[in-house]
Amino acid sequence: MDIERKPESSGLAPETMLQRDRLVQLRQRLREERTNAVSPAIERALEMADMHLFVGLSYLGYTEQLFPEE
Amino acid sequence: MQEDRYWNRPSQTANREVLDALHLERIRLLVGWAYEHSALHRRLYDAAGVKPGDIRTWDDYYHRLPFTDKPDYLADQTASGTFGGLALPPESWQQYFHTTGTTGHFLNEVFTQYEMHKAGTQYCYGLWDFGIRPRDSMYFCFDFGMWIGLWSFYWGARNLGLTIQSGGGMSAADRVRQIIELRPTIVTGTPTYLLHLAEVAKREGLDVRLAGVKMLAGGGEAGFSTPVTRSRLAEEWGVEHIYDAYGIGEALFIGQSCAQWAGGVHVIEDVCHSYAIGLASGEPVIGADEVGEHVITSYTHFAQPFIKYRTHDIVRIDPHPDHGCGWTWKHLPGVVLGRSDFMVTIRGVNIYPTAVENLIGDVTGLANHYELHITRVDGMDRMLVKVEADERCRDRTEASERLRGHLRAQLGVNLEVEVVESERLPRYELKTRRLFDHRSEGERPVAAFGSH
Repeated sequence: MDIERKPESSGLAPETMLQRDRLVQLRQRLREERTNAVSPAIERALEMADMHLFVGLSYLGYTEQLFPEE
Repeated sequence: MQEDRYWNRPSQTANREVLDALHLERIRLLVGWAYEHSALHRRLYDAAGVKPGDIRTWDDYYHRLPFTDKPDYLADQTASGTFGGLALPPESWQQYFHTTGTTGHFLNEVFTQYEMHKAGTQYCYGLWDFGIRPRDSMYFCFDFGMWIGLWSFYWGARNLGLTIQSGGGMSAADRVRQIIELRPTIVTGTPTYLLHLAEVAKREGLDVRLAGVKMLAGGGEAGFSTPVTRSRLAEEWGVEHIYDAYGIGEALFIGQSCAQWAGGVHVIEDVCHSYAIGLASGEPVIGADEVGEHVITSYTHFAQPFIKYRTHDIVRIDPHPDHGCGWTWKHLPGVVLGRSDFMVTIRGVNIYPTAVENLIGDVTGLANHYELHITRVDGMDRMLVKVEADERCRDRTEASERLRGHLRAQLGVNLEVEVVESERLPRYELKTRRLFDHRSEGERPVAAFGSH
């Protein structure tokens, strides 16, 4: 998945799109931290954080992925 | 990331100085939180003349901060009509529970979503150490009810990413069939119930070993730390590992066994502080060989903070375990050795029922199913030990004599012993009822020392 790719416009309000962009960037950062996790506990915590973040993205019309592990 | 045998190496292998500094910082913050948000804690601290800012050192924690105890929370629960020691409003609550009522009174508990999630992390340290990974599965032998211990095991399985298999609403025989069909990696239950399932399997002509279960896991009773019960479980189920967990309803399973079984459990120091106090003095126990009452501060429960909370479990704490696992967290050899609030004096000898339970496991030919009946006759406490024979027992009278002799040799007192036929005693799905105190309220002893 290329999460750096800018999400396509979906006709949602500008502030919605802006928040979606910010969350996509946040997710990118989260995934980098997950790769560098210092323990399985941290890795799992970040994996679950990613799931919650993805739920937030789905509220904002994000369609680049269907689910976090895709 | 690379494979690591430790669930959280940074804290799990940190040295004692680092861990203690972290504990003190957490405790200081928690005391401040509780004082600001919990009417019970503010009342207790004000009565003791202590303000959060006074708690700066371990000496302050040990000697200035008052203990808390279950009666404090029960009184507050009765007065509020909801929960004792509340520090968060209803909009934060997610699920109600209560303790098992071992001591005669249910303590209502409420957990937030975060706390339920946090509680789930407590299980991962031990399970991960045993090589359990998200590809594995856990079978639950219970109907989910109000007992939080089972739920928290479920949260632990979720947190680790295990596949969950529920045996809720089924008979024991159906559970055995389902286990053989689903082949879970782990079956979780109390030791008594897992032995019961093995018995049921035999009766049904089923071989539970065919399920290929790798691990039995659970807690709530002494059995998982009793050598005879452990070997019996391993034999009956054909498992490689037996995983013991120790906890109290107020702080959940805060002790977990590591893969290098050393006869006890490690305190999960990411989620609580643990120390022991002398039974007579209330002073911190220093020596690793001394027993004392376990006192904990939970970092999991903020809706109802439990700070310097008396568990009444008698433990021995080794602060520097060195049995090869690499964990630096405190170790409780023998797990729970007795209860400070439940002592019986038989002919002048103080006896903790847990000590009797542990000794029963030493005698060949006796099963893990037993009851202790306490009565008072002519002003004297008496204890009748009723225990089931197992298939190795040829003569129940002879087995009674062997157990009576073993108890006399180890405890220095004669107890009444009755060995009954197999499957004569009731089976329990959750925490097994072992103790039957037939004394009147006024005949029962009161806990040894005061509130501080």
